[in-house]
Amino acid sequence: MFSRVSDSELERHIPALRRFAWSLTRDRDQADDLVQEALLKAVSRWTQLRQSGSVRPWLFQILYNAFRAGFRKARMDEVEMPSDSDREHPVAIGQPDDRIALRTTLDAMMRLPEHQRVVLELVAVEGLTYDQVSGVVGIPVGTVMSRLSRGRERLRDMLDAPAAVHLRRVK
Amino acid sequence: MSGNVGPIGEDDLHAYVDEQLDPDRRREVEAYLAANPEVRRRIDAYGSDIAALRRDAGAAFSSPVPIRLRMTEIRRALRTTAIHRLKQIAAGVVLVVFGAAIGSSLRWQDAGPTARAPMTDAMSAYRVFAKSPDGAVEIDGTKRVMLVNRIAGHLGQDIAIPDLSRLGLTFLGGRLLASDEGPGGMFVYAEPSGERIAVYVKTLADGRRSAFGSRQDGDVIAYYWFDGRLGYAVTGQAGSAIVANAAEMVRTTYR
Repeated sequence: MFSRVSDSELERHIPALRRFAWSLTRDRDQADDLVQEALLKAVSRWTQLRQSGSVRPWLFQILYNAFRAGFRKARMDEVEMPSDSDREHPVAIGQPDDRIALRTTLDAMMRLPEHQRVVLELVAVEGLTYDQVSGVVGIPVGTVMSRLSRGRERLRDMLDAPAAVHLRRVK
Repeated sequence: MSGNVGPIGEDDLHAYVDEQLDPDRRREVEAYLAANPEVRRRIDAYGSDIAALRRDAGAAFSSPVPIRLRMTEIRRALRTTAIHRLKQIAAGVVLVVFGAAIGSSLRWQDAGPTARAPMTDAMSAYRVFAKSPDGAVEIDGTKRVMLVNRIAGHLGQDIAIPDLSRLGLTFLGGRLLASDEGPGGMFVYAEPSGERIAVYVKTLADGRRSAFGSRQDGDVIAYYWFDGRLGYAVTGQAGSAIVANAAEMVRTTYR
């Protein structure tokens, strides 16, 4: 068999890839487009894979690179924070869903700036190690941790003060 | 995350929440948290946020994986768009192996050496009828009630006409058919480009069930499944981007 990773092995990771893609694009159709693109890249690059134990981070990395390579350009709605800025900023003002009340913790996470959201998704939801996240996103482990820390604090602030978030919106 | 020594830092606390500490350091952090209830509250809150995120994310993605993300579909797309000859061969080999694996789990292979590939009858019906400019339908789309009654009577079970208008498809009508296994029928739709898409149904001789499959023969692609009562195939032009979406929608209709 040419392929080192079986299709059934790849399929096991598709739900996780869809979640990750959705946390990047915040749009289900776009997310599935991105997963499709990543899977196409993955199966056409089978020679690059060394160890089957690392399939999951490997797939995440392909997907994230595909997102960065072209996907993001198509989206004009992304309000990107200056990288790693520690400045306070209002909760997700100007984002497309900014009038929807926070219903779930997931809703709150989707309001984090992208660089924090990605790290939080990979660590907290998908259970990757800091080293693996560092490889997927292409940043040092220390940066992973600082983004994680700020993302988590901001998430907590949003969830602690839903009333404040509401007030800001109701005019 | 391991190897930290000395005073407990923020990094230790996060690694504690994420269960990425080695056992020794973990014990030190636990001792620290026991002595610092204020910090403990914050760390516990982080922990419950993670649990909530996982729960929400799981619930948000409990829907079935769309067909176009199935590996069979990815392989097919790769094969038809392959730029590199070697990749084409490799993907083909994998597809055959995977196809054989699927095949052995489906009962149509057990039918013996004379068994044909699945839904050959659906593909023939598409070629002969659906693509024919004049003879596509015997009952046109304006007589829906009559069509539904005729096909349901023919199949001996209720059957709805899938509404595919959201995909931009126009319903043209349908016809009764004879299949490999007994009575069958077909609903025919037109894409905006004029290409035809057909929804084919037939009664089953053996009540078999299967997951989604797809096959391509020449320029015709079919997506098919069997639910124990009926066999379904959505057929169209292999190059069309709409066929897979139509199949997904039809499957939802007949669930």
